[in-house]
Amino acid sequence: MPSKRLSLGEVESLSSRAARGFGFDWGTAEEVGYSARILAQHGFDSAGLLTKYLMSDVAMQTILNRTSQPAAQLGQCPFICGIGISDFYLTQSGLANQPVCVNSVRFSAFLLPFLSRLSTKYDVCIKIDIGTHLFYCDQGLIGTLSETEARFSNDPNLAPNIVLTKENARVARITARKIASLNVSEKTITMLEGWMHRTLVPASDASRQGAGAAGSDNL
Amino acid sequence: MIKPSDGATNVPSNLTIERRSPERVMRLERMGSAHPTRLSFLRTLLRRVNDENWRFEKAAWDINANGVGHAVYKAIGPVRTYSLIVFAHDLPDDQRSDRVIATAWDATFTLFDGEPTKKDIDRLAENVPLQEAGRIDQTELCMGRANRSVRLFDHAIDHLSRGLQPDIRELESVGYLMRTTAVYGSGKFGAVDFSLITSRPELRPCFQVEMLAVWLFRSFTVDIINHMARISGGDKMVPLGAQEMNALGVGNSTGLGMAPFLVRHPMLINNWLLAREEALVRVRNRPNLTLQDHSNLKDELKRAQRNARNWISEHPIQLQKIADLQTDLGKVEALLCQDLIQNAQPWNHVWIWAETNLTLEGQEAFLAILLECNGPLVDGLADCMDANEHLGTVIDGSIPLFKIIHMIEHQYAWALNVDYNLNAASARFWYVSEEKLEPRLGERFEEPGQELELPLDIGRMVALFYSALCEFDPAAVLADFLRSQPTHRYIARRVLMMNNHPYGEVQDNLIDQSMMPIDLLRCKLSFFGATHFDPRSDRWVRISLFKGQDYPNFDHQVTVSGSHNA
Repeated sequence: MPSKRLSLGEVESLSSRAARGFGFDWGTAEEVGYSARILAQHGFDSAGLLTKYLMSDVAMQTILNRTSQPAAQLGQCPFICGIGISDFYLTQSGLANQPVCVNSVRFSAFLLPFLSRLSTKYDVCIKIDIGTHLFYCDQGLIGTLSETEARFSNDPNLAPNIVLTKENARVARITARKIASLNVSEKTITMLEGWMHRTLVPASDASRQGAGAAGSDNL
Repeated sequence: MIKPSDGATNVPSNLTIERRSPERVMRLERMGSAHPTRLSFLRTLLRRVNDENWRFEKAAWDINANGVGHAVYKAIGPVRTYSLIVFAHDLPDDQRSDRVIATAWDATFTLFDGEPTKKDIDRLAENVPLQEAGRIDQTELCMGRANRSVRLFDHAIDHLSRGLQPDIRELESVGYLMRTTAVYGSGKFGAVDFSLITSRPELRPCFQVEMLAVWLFRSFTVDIINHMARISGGDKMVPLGAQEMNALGVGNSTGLGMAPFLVRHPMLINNWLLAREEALVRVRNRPNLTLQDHSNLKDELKRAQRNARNWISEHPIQLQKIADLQTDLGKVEALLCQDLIQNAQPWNHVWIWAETNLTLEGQEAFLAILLECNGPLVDGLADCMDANEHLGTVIDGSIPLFKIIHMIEHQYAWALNVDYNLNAASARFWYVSEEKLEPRLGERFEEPGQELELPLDIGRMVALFYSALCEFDPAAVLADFLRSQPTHRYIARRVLMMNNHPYGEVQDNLIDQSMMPIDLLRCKLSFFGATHFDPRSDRWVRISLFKGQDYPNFDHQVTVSGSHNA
């Protein structure tokens, strides 16, 4: 399948603009971009996963009814869930003060970047228990305690139910894979660019007027 | 946040005079009068290569009689080598355009991380000349293109080929042989992300990659003119002289696409402005002014006056500013004839005098003069001018709404004082044009597209956020509010971020009918080190980089016909 290598900045920018074009508000679209970048940095095809998410019922339901969770049978939106965990982190019911159980999250790999950013901002280690494996977020890294443990894969549904716990002490050094750019299929790029193009205003004489040099400005 | 002790030597221990307030500094009118200082990024680069004894080599010159081919310039630092690879093209005059929508240029270039192999050059030759339509890789740090100043290029070749130096007045008036029309950095078109190389000391604080590329490219502009003159004149040809070379920088055309940068990177901009303001207040707090200082001030004033005399523009606003500047520098000259040494806090004395007696243009030029005379006191602040922008992205939703309301009233009074219901106050909207994916500025009540507006109307968004907060349950926390009204998430993040970044926000309405994007451009370009700011409209500008500065001292070069070592 033809593909293109995107820098992390390109992954973030394209994902954020695609989310905006899909219908998310600017602030949430930024969250999508941050998440796609962080997952990509850890070797995860976040662009491909985002495409699947944007084509899903859960994404459409989230846009149509942003202030409440989608119908139970659709599962939770990972971005709305991640935003909630992050925004409420320091509140009495937040992850800083007690474990948080997350149920029925779709495309749950997208939760991990929110936890990664929390680990950096508050200098904490967060344990992610998906039932079969443990992951950790520490100092921005998402990983496991051992090279031999399974890493999260491209399975969009990491697990149906996840338990998050703020560790009281640093765990042993976590092993995390980090890459500098992401190989993304042309098909994925085309899909994301399709949503992104909804944010663009068609060119007109007015848009060209005075925006930059004209051909006659050759001094 | 910069502390008085950050990045400097000989800082006065008791800083009694405070920085200029953000309310004064972050206004478009003053930002649009900004001058380059010794904290500007090209000056940081030149200090580093000098202090660290960087070496430079012309490693390849494979350019034919039509001026087509490639050249490689190496910059060898203490740890790493960077190579500028330039592709020279034979561009018909009718295809030469500085517009971002152009598809062909006189020269294209990339800065390579290390020393390129032939395979690298072959790969880049297939991509760099295409610019946006090509792809570069993680070994490339930036990519750019440039066009000739046709008038000066032809004039210089004509004279050099006949054994004559070009008219120095012509060189001074244009100021460059070639002008870049875009230099794409961090992560663009496949290049490496700046975040992945930010730990390299030689690439801090920011834009050092772009500055190094443009500086090396300046040497190419001289080499190509010598080459073409040699082709045309044979043995009669003389290379461009040292005085003539000194009169030339690299030009740059910058349009609306760059204007939103200052708005989109508030943490970074805060650190740039904060460093400059900290530098000024350190100087003002100096307890004495020596005879040597007095002499240095006079020398720097002369340099500023020479610069003002050579500053050419046809734009009516800029013409007035240049006239004001020349008058103001005359007043400074008269001031420096006085005995300043006897004053208590003499540096602050002259600054207060400047604020009282000079226009904004003159004040900002005088600021640059003061900093120029105090290198050891201020140069270390350059280390404080970058930012990890991802650190500010997490929203602390536990903050009570009354505190957010207080933050807005304290930080954004300027935004709350505007009536956005007036057409004039909401006359414009920023958007991205489909044609080249570049930001543009539209007339809200005359053009279609406002439903696709970019979130650059900061003042209006803050006012709407504030209004919504005031109507919400005052006992709630921000997380409750954002769950209920998620459309305010973007501006909520920004307000929190700005709570400890006082210089991060342009304190003017960016959609007002009287707003001039060139003010944003000038502020940013002054931090690059740009001179000879020449607006061509209220939306785009030409400038010069490195004019009057040293060239790389090449200690090895392949044969470049007609060239000599600068």
